[in-house]
Amino acid sequence: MSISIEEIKQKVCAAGKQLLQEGLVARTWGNVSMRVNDHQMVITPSGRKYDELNPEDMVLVDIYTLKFEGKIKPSSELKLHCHVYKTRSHIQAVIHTHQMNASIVAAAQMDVEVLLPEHQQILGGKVIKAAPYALPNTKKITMATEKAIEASNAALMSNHGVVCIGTDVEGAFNVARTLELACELFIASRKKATA
Amino acid sequence: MNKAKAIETILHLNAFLSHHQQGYSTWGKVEVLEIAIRVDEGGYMFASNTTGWPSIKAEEILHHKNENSVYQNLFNTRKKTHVILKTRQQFASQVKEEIPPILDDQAQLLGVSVRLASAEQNITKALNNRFAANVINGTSFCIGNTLEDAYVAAQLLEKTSKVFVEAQALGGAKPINKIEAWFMQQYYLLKYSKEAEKNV
Repeated sequence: MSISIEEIKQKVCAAGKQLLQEGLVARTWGNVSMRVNDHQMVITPSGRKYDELNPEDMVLVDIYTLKFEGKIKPSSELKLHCHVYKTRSHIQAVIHTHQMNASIVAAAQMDVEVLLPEHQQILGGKVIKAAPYALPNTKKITMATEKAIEASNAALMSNHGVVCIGTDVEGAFNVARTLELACELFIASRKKATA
Repeated sequence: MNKAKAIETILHLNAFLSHHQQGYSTWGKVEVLEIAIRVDEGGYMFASNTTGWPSIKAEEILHHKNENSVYQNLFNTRKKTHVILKTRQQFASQVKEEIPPILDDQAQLLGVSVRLASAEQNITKALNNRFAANVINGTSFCIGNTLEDAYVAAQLLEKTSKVFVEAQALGGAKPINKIEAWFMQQYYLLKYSKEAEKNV
């Protein structure tokens, strides 16, 4: 049974609030989207506070033309979301966070070595790559991040944050939480090695 | 904001902090030591966390006017600043040098670097074009147009400081270009920060 656009807007809105509640972002940063069909997605709006959002504030976007419905502007990171959906037909949800442990590794501009097999399974690889630094919302960062994801479910964006993908929104959140744990272990292992 | 509203804001500070700390337990502890709020009547309302914010009483909130203080100097210099928080933070207090721009959100909201002031009296200079700065004595000053703005600056200062400290184990955080950092701050101040009101 297919899900309506209104229901998707409700899910995306709830996921935006969840980003804030889980401490994955502060203020208005980060964003969430869900695929509607093969050419449309719903994404959180640009610059709005998550705790003040309603489902009708979510924005329907054409992933090929980037045109959006209504007068509320979509997140400025929409190009990255669209590019993920265009290149990965099985992906249904994308979240972009500024989470703590991943930000530490991203600021060091390093790839994350995923130490535990159970984390590797959820993250889709033994290494989560860091895309080189580029200014936000540019074609350069979109292409570099999409390339860094490769066949995994996440990528670090150097000095910026993280993008996590999933076959549903809860799956994408699970990737974000697992990446936090994997980064925490990676940092701890490096501390131990240099102690 | 008038005096009565400023007093009410300070009396409710504990509830505000409890609400805004939810979900940020991994970001490092932010303790508000003092608060100053600019008031329409001139000067500012001031309170310090001597007995704990939950038990603060209205008579403990003082109206400072026509004085030469760190807070008054900051309010005189930063016309758009209405709230100043003096904090002690778990990771920010460990930083004893200027933090270069290492995160995009830091550059956007806090400015092109987090400076370290040699004394609280020098904080106005350290905060030039910036919204948070550390002091060598382990305190920090975070400023904003509203209490929420100032507190988010404190939270982001703590995140930035934790990233700066913890990245040492990975060979250190790699700074981004200062011109790009400046560009991002301008973009944030002139455009992105206004979206909350405009993009409806």
